[in-house]
Amino acid sequence: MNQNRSNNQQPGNRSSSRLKGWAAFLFCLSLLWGFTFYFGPWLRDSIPAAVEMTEIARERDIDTTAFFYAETKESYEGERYLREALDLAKPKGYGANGFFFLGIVLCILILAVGFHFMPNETIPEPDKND
Amino acid sequence: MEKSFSEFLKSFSYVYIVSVFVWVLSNQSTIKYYGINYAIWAIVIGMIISNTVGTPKWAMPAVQTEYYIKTGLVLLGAQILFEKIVTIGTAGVFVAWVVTPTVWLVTYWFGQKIVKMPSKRLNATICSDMSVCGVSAAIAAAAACKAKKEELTLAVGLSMVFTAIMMVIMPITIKAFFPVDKQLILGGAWMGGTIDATGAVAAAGAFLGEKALYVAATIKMIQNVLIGVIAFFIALYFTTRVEVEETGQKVGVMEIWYRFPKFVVGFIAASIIFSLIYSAFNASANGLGATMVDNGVVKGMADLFRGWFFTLAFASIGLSTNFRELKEHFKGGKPLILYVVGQSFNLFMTLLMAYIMFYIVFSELTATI
Repeated sequence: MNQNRSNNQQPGNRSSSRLKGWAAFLFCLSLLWGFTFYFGPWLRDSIPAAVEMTEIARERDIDTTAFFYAETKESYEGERYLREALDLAKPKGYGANGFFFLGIVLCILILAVGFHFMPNETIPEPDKND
Repeated sequence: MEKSFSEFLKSFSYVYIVSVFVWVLSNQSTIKYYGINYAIWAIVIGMIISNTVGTPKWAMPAVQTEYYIKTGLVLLGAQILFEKIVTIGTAGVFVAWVVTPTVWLVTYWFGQKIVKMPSKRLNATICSDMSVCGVSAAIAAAAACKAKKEELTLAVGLSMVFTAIMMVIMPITIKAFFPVDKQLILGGAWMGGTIDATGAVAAAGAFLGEKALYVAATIKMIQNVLIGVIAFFIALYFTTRVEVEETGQKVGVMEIWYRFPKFVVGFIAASIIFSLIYSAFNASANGLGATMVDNGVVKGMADLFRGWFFTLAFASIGLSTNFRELKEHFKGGKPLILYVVGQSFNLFMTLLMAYIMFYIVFSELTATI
């Protein structure tokens, strides 16, 4: 790490490398700034579908950054909508029936069979001099 | 840890300030709609700091990636509720629970045999984020197989890039090529089963229409519940097979238990306990489970703390990662090849299964939606 590297240097070199470090830091931040406020919006505006997608997300207040179902209200809305629709009609294939459990058993079975046949050998690390 | 509390507090303040900056940045209105979440911002900001001015030595005691990740994961477990998988019936289970492990295993095999991934851990982490549900699955898989922080960073980065691309391309493709009567349900199920992050799934679903949004978000939710099963499977595989092979020694049951990542037990226990509570509430009054667990204190606490622990974890990863180390893991573009091939197989399998389930086997269910 830079910190460790600079500890072994002469005081003059150390302050110059520290300065270089800060310059690089500010440069990276300015790149990030440019990406966020100039390049990102330009890229988005040049792809019509991306503009539409952004507008839809903004209108519906969808958190596009969420990575788990509990972080989006749409998961709960979807769940409520489907439960209400399917609870009333009770079509074939709804509820915890035999087919439903077959799906779960199949999942476990696939993993169990896969576990048995998963490759064992390790690929040797490539020579760093190559 | 042999550091004094005051030293830890000082170092934690540093990591915390970086995390607050990341949190503010990722919620900035312009940035938010790119679909790039706080995990990536935390890694990027952390890496900029560590590779330019350097992470101060006094801040290192609080760079506790593993601790933050495992705590965050147990909190995640509290929201993995098994009753959720009934929501869209058998069709949903087949799309989310049968295709996903198949894709995981085939991609892992492909990674080892054809691509010849040098790290089984990186292979397993990429397979998980690509086939299950992106960042959350990558975190769980990486912790379960004890992957390096650079391997998790790479997997999360790949997932984020492809999520942003697929979020825009998939709904356009569906609109252009799918028959009109199949765009909402089939398209929604396809996107829910393949796009990694839930937020992106919701946005892509909303692009097609309300029904597509609901189907897509629900399929993704059912897939999210699979994280526990996959994490357990990975932990078991690495403990009993990979580590045994690496050390070249046969181990007994006690040694397997000793090596087994215990947080997986906590993760699954939290999931089972809260699933039982959720179902018990629902059994006593319809909708009570949703009120108490989905909207109540469990959600409030778990969402908040999980978000903070994961931000701290990714900031810590960034603060302790060297660009050069990261580059080493990307050598030959193998992770990219693995992700692209795996995701292509995932797209094919999910579409096929969704069509068979929603339009051939359970068409009555589809008509009701």
